Amino acid sequence: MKNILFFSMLLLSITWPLRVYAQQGTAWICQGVIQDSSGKGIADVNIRVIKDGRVIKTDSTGSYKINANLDKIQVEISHLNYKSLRTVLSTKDIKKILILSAKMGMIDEVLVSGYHSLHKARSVGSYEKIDKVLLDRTANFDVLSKLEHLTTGTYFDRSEYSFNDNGKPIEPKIFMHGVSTLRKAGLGGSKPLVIVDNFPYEGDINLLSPNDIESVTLLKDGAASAIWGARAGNGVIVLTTKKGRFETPLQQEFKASIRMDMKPDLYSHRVISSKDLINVEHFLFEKGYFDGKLASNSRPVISPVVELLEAKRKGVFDDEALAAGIKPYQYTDVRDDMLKYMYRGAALQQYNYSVKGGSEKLNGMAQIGYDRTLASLRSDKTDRISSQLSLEARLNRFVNISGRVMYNELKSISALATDFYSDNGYPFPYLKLKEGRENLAVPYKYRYSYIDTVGAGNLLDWKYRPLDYIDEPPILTANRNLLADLGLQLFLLKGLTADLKYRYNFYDRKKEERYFINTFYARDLINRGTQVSNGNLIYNFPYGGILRQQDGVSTEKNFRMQLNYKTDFKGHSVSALAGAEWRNKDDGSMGNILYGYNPENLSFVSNIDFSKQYPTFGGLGGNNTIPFNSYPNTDITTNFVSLYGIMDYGFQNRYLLSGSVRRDASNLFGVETNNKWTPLWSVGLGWNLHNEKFFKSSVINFLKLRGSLGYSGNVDNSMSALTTIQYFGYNNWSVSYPMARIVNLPNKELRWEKLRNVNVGIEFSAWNNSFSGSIDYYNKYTFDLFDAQPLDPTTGIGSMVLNAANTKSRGIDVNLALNKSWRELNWSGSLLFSYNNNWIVKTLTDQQSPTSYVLKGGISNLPGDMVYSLYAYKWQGLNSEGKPQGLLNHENSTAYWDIMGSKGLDVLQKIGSARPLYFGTFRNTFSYKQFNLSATISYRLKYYFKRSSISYQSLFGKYDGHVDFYDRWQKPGDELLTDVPAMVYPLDDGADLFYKDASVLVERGDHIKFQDLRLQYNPALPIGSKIKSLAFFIVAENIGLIWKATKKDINPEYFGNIPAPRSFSMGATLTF
Amino acid sequence: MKNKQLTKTVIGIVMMLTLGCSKFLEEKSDMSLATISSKSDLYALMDYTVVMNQSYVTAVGDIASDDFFILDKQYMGISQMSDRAIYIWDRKPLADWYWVSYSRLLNVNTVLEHLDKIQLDQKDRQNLEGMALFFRAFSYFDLAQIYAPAYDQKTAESVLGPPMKMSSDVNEKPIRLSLKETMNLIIADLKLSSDYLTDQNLTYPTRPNRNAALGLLSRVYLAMGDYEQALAISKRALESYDKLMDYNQINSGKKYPFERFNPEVLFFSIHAAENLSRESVLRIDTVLYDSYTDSDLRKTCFFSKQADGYFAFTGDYSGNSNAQKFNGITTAELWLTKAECEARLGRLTLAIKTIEFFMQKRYVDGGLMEPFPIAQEELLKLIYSERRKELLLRGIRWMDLRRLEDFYLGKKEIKRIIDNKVYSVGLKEIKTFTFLFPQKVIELSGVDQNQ
Repeated sequence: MKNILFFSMLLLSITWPLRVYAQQGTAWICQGVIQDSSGKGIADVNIRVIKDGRVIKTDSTGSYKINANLDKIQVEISHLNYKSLRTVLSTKDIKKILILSAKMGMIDEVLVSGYHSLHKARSVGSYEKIDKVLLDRTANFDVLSKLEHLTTGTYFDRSEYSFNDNGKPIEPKIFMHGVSTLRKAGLGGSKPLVIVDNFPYEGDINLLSPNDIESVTLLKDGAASAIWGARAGNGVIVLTTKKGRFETPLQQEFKASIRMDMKPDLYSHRVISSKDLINVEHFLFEKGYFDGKLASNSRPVISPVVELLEAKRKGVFDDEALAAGIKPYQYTDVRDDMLKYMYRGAALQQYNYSVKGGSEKLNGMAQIGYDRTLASLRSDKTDRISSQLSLEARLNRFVNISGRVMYNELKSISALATDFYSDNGYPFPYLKLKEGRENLAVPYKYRYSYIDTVGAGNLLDWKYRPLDYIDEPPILTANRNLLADLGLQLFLLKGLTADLKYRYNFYDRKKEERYFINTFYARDLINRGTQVSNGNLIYNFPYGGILRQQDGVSTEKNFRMQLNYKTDFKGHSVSALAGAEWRNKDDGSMGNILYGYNPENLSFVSNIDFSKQYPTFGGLGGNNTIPFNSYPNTDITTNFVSLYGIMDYGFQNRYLLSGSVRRDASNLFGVETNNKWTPLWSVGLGWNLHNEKFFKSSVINFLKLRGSLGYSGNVDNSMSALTTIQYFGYNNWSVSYPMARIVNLPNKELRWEKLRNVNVGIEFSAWNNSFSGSIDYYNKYTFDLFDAQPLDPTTGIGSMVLNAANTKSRGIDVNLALNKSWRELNWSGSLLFSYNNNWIVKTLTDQQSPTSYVLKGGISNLPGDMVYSLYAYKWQGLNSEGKPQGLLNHENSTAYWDIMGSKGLDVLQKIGSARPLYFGTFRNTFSYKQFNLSATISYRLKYYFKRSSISYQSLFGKYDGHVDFYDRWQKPGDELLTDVPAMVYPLDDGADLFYKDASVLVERGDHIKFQDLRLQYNPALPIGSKIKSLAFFIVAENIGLIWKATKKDINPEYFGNIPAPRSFSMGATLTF
Repeated sequence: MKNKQLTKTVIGIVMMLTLGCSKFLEEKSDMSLATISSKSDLYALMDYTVVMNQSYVTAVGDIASDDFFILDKQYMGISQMSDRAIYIWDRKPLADWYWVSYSRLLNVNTVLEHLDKIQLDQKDRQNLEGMALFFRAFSYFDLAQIYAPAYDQKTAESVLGPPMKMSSDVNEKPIRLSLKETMNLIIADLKLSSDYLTDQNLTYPTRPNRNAALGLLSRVYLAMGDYEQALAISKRALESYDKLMDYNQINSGKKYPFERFNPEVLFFSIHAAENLSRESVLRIDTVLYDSYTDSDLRKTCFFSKQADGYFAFTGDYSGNSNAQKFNGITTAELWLTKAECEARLGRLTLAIKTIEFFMQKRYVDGGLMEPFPIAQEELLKLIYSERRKELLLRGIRWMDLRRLEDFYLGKKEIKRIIDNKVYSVGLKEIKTFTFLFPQKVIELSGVDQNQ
């Protein structure tokens, strides 16, 4: 709170002087000009004087002149293609400039690439720009999540989504235009390059508040993105932050919104009832399945039901007592208590205040925001503070200077995700978690009856209460980011300017795991290290809490020098730029662990002997040493040098030619300097047909054909051409020699990944911009993709990353917008359609065994296959014993290991794509007077997935029994009625693994979804009100499926797992 | 004019800065990653205990031997089919973790290849080479126990040893030499290793020293039936260091009475984790258990009674309670080897002295009352009995079953009864028994599966 007060004072003191410039002029006439965002005058704009209803139109230059009998008049300005504006004109304004922003579908936008900006009409690349209005439609914690239903060609991968992540700041997995790399997420994966204004932003996207962002531009093809060179391989997303503007009156904006989700539907994970699960336990007990655990000296955990069964077997209970003991469990479902005490509806609150304005020579913008997100898991929450101050000044005719400081902070508190419900259920699903006000203990890690009584009071309480971690989450993280930009623009000669830009970016990350003495984690370690000797208690493990810390700091310096040249003569227009960049990033982190920690006085035990062995209490284990497992220390330096140039040429605004070239070099570890420099380039052509003399259509007012070819790349500093070893910190026997393992075998052939991108597109606008859109067709070819190739195990390394694969992608992006007005009712429809598919052209690996192809999320390596192919074992039904059958050598077979390890792939069936080939949205917006209603329908088509079914391994070992259990084969003849295999004992793990990936479990994933519904109300404002605009909105998201291809009762959008819940948001924006 | 000058300056700076970049680009990107450039790097690779001192494969042999059994219900509860197969000598491909040995060999080959590329003084070079050769020999010997038949002079030239990797090059395919050539290579490595390494006692026996190399060499000779050599080598090692712990001093009340790097350990290593060797599952054969007399201190130090009435082995030297049991080299093994060889070679008086010295450390003070047998056969029987009682779960029983005559083993076959079904394997069959390579190896390496 103190921070906010301070910032407000700062803002006011800076913006106050700007107010003065807003008022000047003579009486009785209001004059001015109305322009679009590029500075061009707009003709035929209606200006309606509200008091007397007069309507005045602007002339061809956009100028207007209004006679007034007051010195201030309130007007409403509207034009079909622009958003209406209500404002007050003063007779003192002689040179008033009003800017109207374009409605959706308008072609005269300004696009940014991070290096320069250009008019859409004159560009030859494929760009997609999302403006503020669309970004503000929904309330999200991070800006990238908003893009899913607003763009074409971008696929948001939810195959690893877990409902436990709901409400947590997570970075969405985005694939722009399909596959550009096969590297896993840990090595950067498919993540597009995110640019904030002019430089790449590599920090956590959740540090940025979406309210800071004015617009998002996606650079999709070679001509657009090749300028980013060796980092543009996965596509580029440019985030443009809000800024001040010269000659604009002071404007303040205040926004607030709150979003609430429903609780996650844990019951959509459909399992057998507790009663039936207990019957299975009974069966296993009789067979002796638990005997090993019951006899073991390490006292492993067993369920309360098994404890009772054992007690009966020993004669402690009789049948009646047993039945009575089991009864409460039969009717309890742990999800009841979990939904009551562990989960809640996630919630997001967002508040933002900004002020901006500018005079002729100076403009500024200041902003401060606060966001809080509460996760579905009660323990987790995250707070964010974002603030920004930017200034721009025209020093003189030659020099412009600009600067910005941005400070953002993220603070989270969370519990370990493993202790909660998951898509695999929860062990012992029939427990209660709370009684009255008391958190109940559940059997965990150890046998409950043992820890309940052991120690005769000498030991700390050894019970585990899951809700304790909810009440006191042990993990704290804090991320801070300070970003400072400085820019200098020099006007050297006519048409020639120089730009110098510098960015300093500082990140600080802290993570703290606090396992104080009241946590199970600490109590367990202390108890295990306790020794009772001659009536004395010896604590071999330090008595107290455990504090594990990780501190990381990253500093980044970017410097850019660029020359820009623009000229227009005799119909030829040329704009060129050339520049050089340096980038240095130092990233280091350190770990620390403190034992015997007391948070009250911050003391800890300092003389720990990590080599001393001590026995485990009660013979629960062997001899131990105190683990020295702090986070490893890291220190990574990345250096990047680049040279680049762009040239845009246009002839009479009809023929357009563009080219870019860039050379990048990096301190790629181990490779000689020669190989470190690679040139990447692009070339594009465009034809503005509507400007041709022969083009005489009155319907089509804009028609452009364009095409481009570009080469970009992907660099990964963790690759090396030499034998690379990595040092480890510690040894589990406390042997004090440093250890190193081999992480990389020599590879002299190491090269960077390259992409060739071909794109052709058509952009059009007809009927005075009431129907507009674009269609793009792209063809990508990637070379030398890094891919982990499984190696012959005799090499000593399981896999090695080689430049192994070539892939190709093809796709179509369609973006159509339609606008129609009837009197005061306005309708606009927007259709976004994407088609994308990817194929393996070549890899170095040989064909593998069938098990590699049926993996979930697996990537095929067979030339000609789709990259994301879904494979399943051929299914031949159940045999007369209820065993699943596959096909081996043209015969039905139950030799599962032979099938799964077969040399040929004819045991498999290639089903289709595991990723939707067609996806997009359809949005309808209606506005009538002060109301605006819009609805979005999203669709994902042509893909398959495998649904989950009964796994006897999970049922026996993890107490997770899928409802298909009820349909299992039970007697001969059932094989004609069901496909669910019989339960056999001892467990046939081969049958289980085979069934899990059999074709009988394949379902179509196609679905159409009612994505959101939004209602906005802009109340009429009284005349003379200081408020410029006011808007209220409510939104419902994730409303439900309209249609799905699969007949089964599962949600294909989440591949059958527990889905994201519905949410409702509401908010208000006020500008004055 | 001012502008033109400014322009020129700007262009000039740009050019200057772009040319001076090499150093900027040479900077190391990740400090924890390194190329192999100094002796500490080579030592660090040899000290990577996770792979160098773990995952030895004779664990499989232990399961297939007769020292231990598993209760029926436990056996049925083991979920991995390949594990269940080992116990009943059903030849199915082993699970993937029986191949980590080759990661060990990768470290060995890498170190050997870099010995000439890095500046090393004589002492370090010999030390590193000695260690590398030791690990190479131990790895191949360990693999041979499981993937090759027992060494028999008559057939050794015509049967194959385990696949061997001679370099760290990914593209080099492994080769299989005859068992005879494989053993020769192992012996040559160990001889060289014992020359290079010093006999200094190391704080951490995870590194081998000369005595460890000699100890292993004597085990190898024993496996080949060369009693002369085995005797000479074990004597040499014992002359340098022969300490035995007196079990009278061990607190048998503790469940795990032995410390990890105790004075008997010449080299410390542990087996691959094996589901069936878990303490909760494995029980010592009742007849074997009864063969420990009441004055045998090992009866209480090695075993803990379980709830099911049988006994689990808790006396191994790994200091752990999990399934990875100690399989390294101890002085106790050398004493037993010496006694056996002396007896085999007819030097019975010496043999008696040796075994008596050994047994004094294992039996209650003054508990060794009975007179020692003086006939060779009886003496050998006694020595083998002690050997079996001492070297439990170290991969040595499997080796002994394959090299000893039925007469000394006292049986002709091993039999198990599970759920009223009888499984058995003749000792003759065991001598030529080979386990099958894991599936992945066959798919990717070009090596043919064992027949």
